[in-house]
Amino acid sequence: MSHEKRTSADFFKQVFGRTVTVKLHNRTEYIGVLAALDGNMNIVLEQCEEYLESKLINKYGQILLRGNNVLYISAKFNQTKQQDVEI
Amino acid sequence: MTTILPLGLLDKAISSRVWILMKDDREFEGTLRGFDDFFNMVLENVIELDNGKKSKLESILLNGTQICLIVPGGEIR
Repeated sequence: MSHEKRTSADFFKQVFGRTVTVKLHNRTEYIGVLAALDGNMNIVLEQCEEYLESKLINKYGQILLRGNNVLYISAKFNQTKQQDVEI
Repeated sequence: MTTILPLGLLDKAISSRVWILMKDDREFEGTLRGFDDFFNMVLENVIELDNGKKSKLESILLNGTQICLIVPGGEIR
């Protein structure tokens, strides 16, 4: 392969310990520090905030998300808190 | 006539923009960095369109289970 291909395994390695946003299929978002991630996209987040429609509804010290519910895992590499940006 | 397999087409699209339609009328457009056999995708500089609302994401791992359609070189309209 001539391109530099970043697979999901590479993405996993890059995001450990970072603050990520996990969005579920039901539009709920969780912003927290990624503690664990497996091949089924099961996720453990720490110091996690739960948002629905951009409103904070809950905070958790540690949370386990079942991977079948996950739509995407989003990371920012300059470590500022992720906010949705209206275009 | 050479055979092109679906994942082969996706491989050709790496490093270019792709437009992804999900089953529930959500759309993503981003630069394809990688993918796997389950269609999980790593995208960068992503625009997410959900219920008419657009947002920007720097780098995401998109779960492949809900992906419906992928357009290489396409964009959200």
